[in-house]
Amino acid sequence: MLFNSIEFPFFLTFCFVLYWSVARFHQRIQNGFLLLASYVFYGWWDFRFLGLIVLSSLVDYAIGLGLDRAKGLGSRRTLLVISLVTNLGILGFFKYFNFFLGSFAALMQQLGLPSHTSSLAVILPVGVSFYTFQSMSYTIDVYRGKLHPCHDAVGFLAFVAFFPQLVAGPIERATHLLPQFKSKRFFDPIKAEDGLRQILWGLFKKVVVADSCAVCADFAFASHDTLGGPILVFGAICFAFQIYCDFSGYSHIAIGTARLFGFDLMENFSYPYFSRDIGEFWRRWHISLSTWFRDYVYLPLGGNRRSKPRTAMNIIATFTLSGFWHGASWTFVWWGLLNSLFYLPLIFGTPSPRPRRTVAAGRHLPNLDEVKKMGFTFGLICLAWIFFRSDSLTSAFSYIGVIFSDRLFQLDAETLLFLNARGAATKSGFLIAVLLCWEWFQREKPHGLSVGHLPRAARWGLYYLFAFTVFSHFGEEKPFIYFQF
Amino acid sequence: MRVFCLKMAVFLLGFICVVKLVGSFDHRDRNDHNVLRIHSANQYDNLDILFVGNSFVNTGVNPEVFERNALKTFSLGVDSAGVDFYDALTDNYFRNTQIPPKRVLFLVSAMTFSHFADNFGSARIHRFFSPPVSNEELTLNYDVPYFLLIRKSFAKGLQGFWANSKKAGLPKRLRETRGFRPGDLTFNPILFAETKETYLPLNKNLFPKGDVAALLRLAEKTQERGAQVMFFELPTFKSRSFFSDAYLREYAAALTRLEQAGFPVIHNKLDLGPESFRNMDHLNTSGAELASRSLVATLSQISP
Repeated sequence: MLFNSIEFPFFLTFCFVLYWSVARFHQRIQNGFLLLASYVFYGWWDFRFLGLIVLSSLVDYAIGLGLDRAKGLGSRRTLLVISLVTNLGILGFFKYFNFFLGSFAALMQQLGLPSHTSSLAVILPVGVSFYTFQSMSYTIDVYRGKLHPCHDAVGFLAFVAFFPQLVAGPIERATHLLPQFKSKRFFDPIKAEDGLRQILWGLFKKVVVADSCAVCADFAFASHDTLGGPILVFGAICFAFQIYCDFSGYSHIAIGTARLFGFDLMENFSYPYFSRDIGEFWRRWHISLSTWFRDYVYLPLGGNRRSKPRTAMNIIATFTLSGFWHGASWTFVWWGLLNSLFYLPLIFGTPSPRPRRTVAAGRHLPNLDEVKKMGFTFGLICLAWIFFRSDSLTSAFSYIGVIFSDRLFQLDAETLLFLNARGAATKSGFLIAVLLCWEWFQREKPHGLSVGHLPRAARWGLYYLFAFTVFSHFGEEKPFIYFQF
Repeated sequence: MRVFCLKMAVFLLGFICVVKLVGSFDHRDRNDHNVLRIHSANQYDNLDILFVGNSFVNTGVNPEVFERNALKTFSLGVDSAGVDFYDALTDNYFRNTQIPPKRVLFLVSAMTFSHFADNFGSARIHRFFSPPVSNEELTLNYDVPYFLLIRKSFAKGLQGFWANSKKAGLPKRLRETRGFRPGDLTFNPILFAETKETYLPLNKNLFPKGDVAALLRLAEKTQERGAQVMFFELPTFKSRSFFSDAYLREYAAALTRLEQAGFPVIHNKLDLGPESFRNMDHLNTSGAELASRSLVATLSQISP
């Protein structure tokens, strides 16, 4: 079931009413109800893959209990390895099997050796990359002694399968979310109202901005061989906003929905396109995944505690793995690698204070230096997005090749006419400008519709404005980009 | 909790009221050739032939050719029409005219039964009938997603506020041509390449057998209203190649079923080249001339 589908509002209303009426009496009933709702939500897509979530959850639940009982380091390590092998095995088979097989066959062909491989028709279960990482974080934290193992099986299963963030995150840490399943939730109207505001904001970003930008981005990436440079630059910018609004929109809806049920999920996006360097960007973009890789890959590799070259190696390894997490394709690996290369000047360059605070905090407008830094960072990010969006490395290099050729200033009148005939270019440009302005003035708030401080008439006016805009854009259900990961 | 639910209910009520209110303006903007055709058709009764179909009809059946042969006709072709559209269009026509047509000819083509057909969300003809049919009534009568209809009505209603200032430029021309939409463009391969993508999903279409039964019911209903019913095909150029063989077999079987039920089917016998089409499938003015002449000839052989 998609958040932007017709069924979801009915499903959400039904669950909300039952949860706070029938299931409110005990925390165990609340957990049981949420587990059932989550499995229905997931099974709506394909109930056969429920078995995988159950398997992954039960293995980690049992291993958590085993870690509690095991005394020796050896047996604890063995248990952790079993958990990692199970989760990564599920992920590896369903997501990477054909990729490895294809890459192996290609390598054999390059070496002139015979290869008799045939790919399997493997369906990628929705959300597998998210819930396996979430489940793994539990066993790793229990192994490290950061978390007491969970003894409530239903609560643990509900934690792994919690429907608001099951299919595309935020990838919650057991240390943050699991304790919330251990205590009874009470209805908080302020929290629920803010949750609804956040859902509305998420829907606006997805249905209005992302889906509109998708038209120009799809067009640019599909026909880049014949288009002029300005259209390709515009296409890359449109994709940057498409993926941002698509994914952050999902996260807002997930966080808002969780708040309706009395849960607090971690923030996943914090106005990343206002970042002044790549480091800041990655502290603001897909925060749940970035911090996951930081805590479970980068820091165990040594982080920045050793030499600068070693730190650089750790950064490259972490980003490359993060790219590979996104999809079984070399384009994602290159995307990760490119981001790590953008990071290197921060390691080897002149040490400068890390921008911690929000840009232009306490001021209405940024200064020229901040504008330059934000523009430069956004340019680098857009360059990397080209790899992320392209079908193959060849397409990505060809796309970039056109941008950095003499076609950069070649404005194809026919293309402009085509785009404007559909109103796509004007609409995307307008929406991007509106979004940027709106987010700029909201950049110190948790989300774009944090307007609780405004007078009631203004608030309700805004709710209606956004609700009608979303409603008039509802139509074909376009899946969220991150569902494929 | 109660206060929260009350606030939500008030918000939703306000939302629904505004959606309904704005949606009620959705039929003010009438500057569309389909809408104008529906309104023009109502001014013509006592026709010899009423042609009902999709855009193939409004580009392929030229009433002027029939007039030369002393036949009074109207080309009631509405974009993307399928069996449900035919039903709604015929019903609206009969309700708004005094004397029924002698014959009603329904177009049959592979496209009539495809997934492109009967998109009430995209071509909201029901809102332009006299009197307009509500979205609720339409949903009850046909299998149409209600949400899509009200969303579209809302979006069109917003545009409808400005509709009065718009001047409808087409009605006079459409009245003169009796629903026919002339066009002199000729098919070219670039056009084919540009529009091909849209047609590719046709290959996955399964033939909706229920539509044939519905078409037969419509034919019987129309006959009961006093008109003789026939089915006819028009020349097409490329679209057939997009359908699967199984679909086309089912389509051929459907035509046989219509004939077996006692309704004459005028099969297309013309094999026209690209010079007769304005695009992938729509005839241009010269193609329409040939197709209309062929229809006149065939009809003259069929006794009334």
